[in-house]
Amino acid sequence: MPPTYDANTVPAISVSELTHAFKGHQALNQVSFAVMPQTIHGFVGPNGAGKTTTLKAICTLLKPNWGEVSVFGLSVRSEATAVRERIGFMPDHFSMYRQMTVFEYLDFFAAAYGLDLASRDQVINDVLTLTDMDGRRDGLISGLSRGMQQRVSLARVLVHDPDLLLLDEPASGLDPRARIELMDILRELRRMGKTIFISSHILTELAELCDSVTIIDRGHVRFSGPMDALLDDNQETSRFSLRLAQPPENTVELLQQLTGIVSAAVREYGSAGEFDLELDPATDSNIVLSSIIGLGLPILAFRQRRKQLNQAFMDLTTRGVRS
Amino acid sequence: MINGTQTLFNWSLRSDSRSIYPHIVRAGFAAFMLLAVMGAWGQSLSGMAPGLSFFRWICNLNVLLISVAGISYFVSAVTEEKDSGTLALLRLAGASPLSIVLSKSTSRLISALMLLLTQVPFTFLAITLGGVTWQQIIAAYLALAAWLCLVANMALFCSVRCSTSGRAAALASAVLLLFFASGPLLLEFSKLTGVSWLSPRVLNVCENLHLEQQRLSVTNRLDEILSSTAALTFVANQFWRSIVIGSVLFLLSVLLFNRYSEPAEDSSHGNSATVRRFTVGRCWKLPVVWKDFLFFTGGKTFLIMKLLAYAALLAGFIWFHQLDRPNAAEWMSPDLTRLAFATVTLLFTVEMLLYSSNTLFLEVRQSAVATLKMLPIPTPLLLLQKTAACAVALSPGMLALAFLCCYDTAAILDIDDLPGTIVGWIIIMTLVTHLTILLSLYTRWAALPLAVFITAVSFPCIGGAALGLTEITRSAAALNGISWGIWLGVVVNLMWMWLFVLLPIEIEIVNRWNRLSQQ
Repeated sequence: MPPTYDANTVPAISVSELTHAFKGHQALNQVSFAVMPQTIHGFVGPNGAGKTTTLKAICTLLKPNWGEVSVFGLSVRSEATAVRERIGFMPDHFSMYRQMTVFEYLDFFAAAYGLDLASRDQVINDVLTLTDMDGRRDGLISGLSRGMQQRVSLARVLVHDPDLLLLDEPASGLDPRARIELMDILRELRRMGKTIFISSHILTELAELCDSVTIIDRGHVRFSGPMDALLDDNQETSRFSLRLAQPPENTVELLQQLTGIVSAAVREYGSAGEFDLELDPATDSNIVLSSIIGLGLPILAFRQRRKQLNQAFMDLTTRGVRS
Repeated sequence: MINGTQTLFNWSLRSDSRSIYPHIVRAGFAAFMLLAVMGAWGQSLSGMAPGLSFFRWICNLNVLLISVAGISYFVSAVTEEKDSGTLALLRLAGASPLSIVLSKSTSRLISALMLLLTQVPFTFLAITLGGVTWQQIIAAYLALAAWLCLVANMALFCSVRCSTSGRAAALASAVLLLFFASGPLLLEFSKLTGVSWLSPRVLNVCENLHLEQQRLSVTNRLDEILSSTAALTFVANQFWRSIVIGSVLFLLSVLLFNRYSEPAEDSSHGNSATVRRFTVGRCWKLPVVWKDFLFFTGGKTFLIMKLLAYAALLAGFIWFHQLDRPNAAEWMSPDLTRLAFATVTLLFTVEMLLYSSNTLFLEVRQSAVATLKMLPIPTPLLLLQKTAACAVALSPGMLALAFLCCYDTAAILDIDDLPGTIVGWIIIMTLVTHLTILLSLYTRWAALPLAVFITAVSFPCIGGAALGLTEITRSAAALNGISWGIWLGVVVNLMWMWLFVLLPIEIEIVNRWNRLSQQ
């Protein structure tokens, strides 16, 4: 669970009216959002939406044409060095020095961040344990699978103990097991107090992982806020799902006759006994549930349905790849 | 087969013609030729006939450019596919070894021939300047084209034989150096008639080999063409031999393609941890120096090998001197010391140029620029650390030079205009390495030949200014009673050079590096 914040909490990332153009192509247009500390923030958008450009502006690689970006209150323009010490950036096309071993690779980055010899050993052991790579510390990077290289890359961004991790498509190219394990590592990192800003296309996993989300499309922010607010947004009627054990054939007619139910239908592609209900928002759902029990139907589950992130994403973004 | 070859060839040629840089180079070369012709015309107004010297200079420049292109541009014909792992995809697409080799090498050869062709109209203007005939020009360009064919196919063979571009460049450099060095070495060896235990048959073989080398040498052929007043044959021995050897090397490249087309093997484990601890060890306080020294220049093992190679080279000179003069008290004669000094300097120069063309280029190829930029190390400091890593790797060469200086200081000091030579070398090398580093951030493999060309073209201007500045400083120092005025001139020159030439290049290197980190 994300911590609670007061009004004085400095956001981990604050992006204000960020605007950038490449050779006449408007990549970002007045992009604004904030990420609170110790949360996992998803950053989603179609290809060419401006995700990587925004990430590069946050991690000090790109000087935007207009707008302000700050990390823990430090401006990326004027305090780039201080910002770099507090962030770890994992680009989508991450580079690996393939002729090094895992240990040598991490040793190089730890030394580059100014860690002394003694603390380097400790830190490298810790990050290798965290990423479950301690068994491969003497293996050459060239001999590792893509998933393992991804872990080493994640270990690399952790060696200097940054407060904010910026991950650009960290799960791309990973098999399902590796993806699930990566998500577990990210949850563990949040528990350790890290803020994680993750750009990804794998929406189902983001929905489970993230506390908040920003959806960007064609350089414009379409939504930014808590994940709950996105998934519960724009509901004119409350949508519920009902699951019954051995329902009678006329269940739909029976349900539609009840007060407070706007519509009832067998769930498309659902398992047997599953129904979708749309309730009148003015009606208390407990009263509806009592009415269903009153019908004598064998209820297994009755719960509010949330919009899927996929659906929210499709609703908020436009069709087609940006030229 | 024809379809595959044609597709690959078209693709290579199209990507070359779409890139702006080759056109800029050709246009630049043409503009330079025009300026050079105008300069020579200016000379002719004063009653001289500068056509021959102008044309000789152009020919020498071409020999240098073709040789440098061999070790940097042509060697990557096949290895660039190996480096990026796309060779297997080409094979899967049904491209035969012949199609790949033919298409990849021919497009580069055409690109290089275009550069020669660009010059031809301008060089014909040299006839009007006097001192050179159209027959000489045609014969010289045929000799150069044959040399191009030989070098391109030798580099192609290295590209097929080696698993990475770096190794191919090293092999091609070694072959070219051996070829140029073998002429004087074989000649000197064949003269050792006074050594009793040396069989006359061995000397005879050396003499014949020397003759063969001379017949193949483009520099010899150009000398012959430009010094001849009699009727010339357009195609001589050098032409046919180069074409035949080039064709044989091409054939070998095709035949051995399958055998050597496997990508560099990625083993999952390195050397044992103990060996690795010695060869690699822990990261130094200057991490980029450590990384580049160990993983770019070859590390401790390669450093020791180079040290042994330089020691063997010097031992070779000493042995040669002992053969020549069995009863001599000294290890090497002054002449031989100077020759050894020049040879080591040449090897050192080639090593330095290869490092400069790859040090940043490989980071770009490995997409590591953004990762390095994110480190809390300012870009200029990072570049300095990379330079320091190369300096460590160059230490065997420096040690060999220092040894020769200490061994016979008088012989080295006896070199004609030593301060001028040293300063000239420093200025040329700093300029060419700076340019190579900068160009390696723009072009894929042509950085080194381009840098050599730009330096060769611009050096007369810089050199003239440098000489003038040295003279002014020396005169001013003499007027004020300051001894060592010449060295004061050197310092002033280097300051001037850094401020007006190197500093702008360095600023552009940093800017370009920063821009690449955003891509």
